[in-house]
Amino acid sequence: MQKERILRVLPKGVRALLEKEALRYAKLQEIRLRTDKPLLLIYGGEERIIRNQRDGPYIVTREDIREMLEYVSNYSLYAYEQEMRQGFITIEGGHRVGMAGQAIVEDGRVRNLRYISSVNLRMSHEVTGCADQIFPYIIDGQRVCNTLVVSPPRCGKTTLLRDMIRQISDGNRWTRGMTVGVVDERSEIGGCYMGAAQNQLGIRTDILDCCPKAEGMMMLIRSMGPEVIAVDEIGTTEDVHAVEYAMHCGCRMLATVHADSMEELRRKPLLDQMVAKKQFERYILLGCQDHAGQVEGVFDSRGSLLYSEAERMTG
Amino acid sequence: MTVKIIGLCMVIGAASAGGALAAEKVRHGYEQLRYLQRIICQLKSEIQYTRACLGEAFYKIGTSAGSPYKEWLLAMSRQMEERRGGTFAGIWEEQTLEYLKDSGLSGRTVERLADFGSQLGAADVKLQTRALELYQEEIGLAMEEMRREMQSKIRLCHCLGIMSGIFVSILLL
Repeated sequence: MQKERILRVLPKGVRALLEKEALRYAKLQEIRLRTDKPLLLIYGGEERIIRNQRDGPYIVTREDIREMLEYVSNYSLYAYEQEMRQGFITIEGGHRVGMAGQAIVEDGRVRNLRYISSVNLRMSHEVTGCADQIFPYIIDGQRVCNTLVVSPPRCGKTTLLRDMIRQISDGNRWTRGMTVGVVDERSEIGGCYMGAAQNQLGIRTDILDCCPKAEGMMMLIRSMGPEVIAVDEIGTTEDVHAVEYAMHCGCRMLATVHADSMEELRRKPLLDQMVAKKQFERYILLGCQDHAGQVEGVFDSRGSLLYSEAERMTG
Repeated sequence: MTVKIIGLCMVIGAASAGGALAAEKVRHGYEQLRYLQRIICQLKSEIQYTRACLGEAFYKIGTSAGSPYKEWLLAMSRQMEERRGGTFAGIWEEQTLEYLKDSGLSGRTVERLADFGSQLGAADVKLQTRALELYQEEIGLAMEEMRREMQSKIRLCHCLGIMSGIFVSILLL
């Protein structure tokens, strides 16, 4: 299934080459196409150059990029105008197609991209069960604590959030199943394709795809009555106000934010006040020193360490 | 004598029917152009208001459209889904020529429609809807021109039919 979804968006020539490669698609992380450059794969953590029939590296053509863009956008780039502005399109399976080219700027903001010369297909990998270890610390009785996942980029915060949503929605040994509302502004959590989540988010999850976080949270509260609301990468004033509003409405919050450490989080404008007001009851700090998604610590609202993966390993 | 008269009536009748058929063809061409304009209008609405992808829009419009537009739209939607290579403009042109060549639309209209595929799939909704609006205007102008000529053409077809019938009858006499 995953193989077909990936191959479907690739140019015919590249598709034929990859079919000959005997790849294990679960190990495939990225496919990079750059005009007039060799076709590259990131496979099992290593870079791999794909060779053509004459045993030379396969050189990606402008036509390949054009064909791929037609497939990725279902021949309708206008339908992905919003996503193009962010530089990527999410395809069926939750995989992400990043693009680079010439930006069209209007009023100082990127309006669209043209002359696209690089395309990067990044595979979406769900890690079901990755939140198991933190569940005892984010559930208080039968109540989910307002939790903020703090992590540097590419350390697995969205993957952890996704698994937390799934387990809360389905219910597990720590909590009963709850209604979860997800505002997925960049289609990262659910990897929605035509409105339907491609990743497992549980049976009681309602997802608002491609919707601005602040507006989406209000919409969910009014329309779907969620017990828990989950959002990725909060940061703007509107986001922070909407998070506070949701908390005052009795919803439990799960959110993520970019930061290297708790100290850095306390120095972040807007979020510093939330930390000072103890609005989040739990902070999960992630790192990727040993592996992506490594839980460096679970802290309570006062900043006391409740759990650390490193301590558990040594202890 | 009676047989002769019956024969002459039949000749005149057949020629008149031929004329009526030609007149109907002119009317049919106009109706087809109007139908095409309706389809373009539906496509524009789908793109503008629901941001539907082309394949999705073709399928939606195609399921409720009449022949041969139904077959044309559904074939395009199917071929886009299959992703066998080639550009969208290529798929559009191929399917347009295959399904609409004998639809009653004039050769010039079918050719222009086949070329229009290169303007679909643009990166911007505004640009896309504007292209469709321009094409709608173009069809509107063609319809206006056709409407002006249609009445005289229809009358001419009827007259020619009857006159040729009478002419053949005189020759037979």
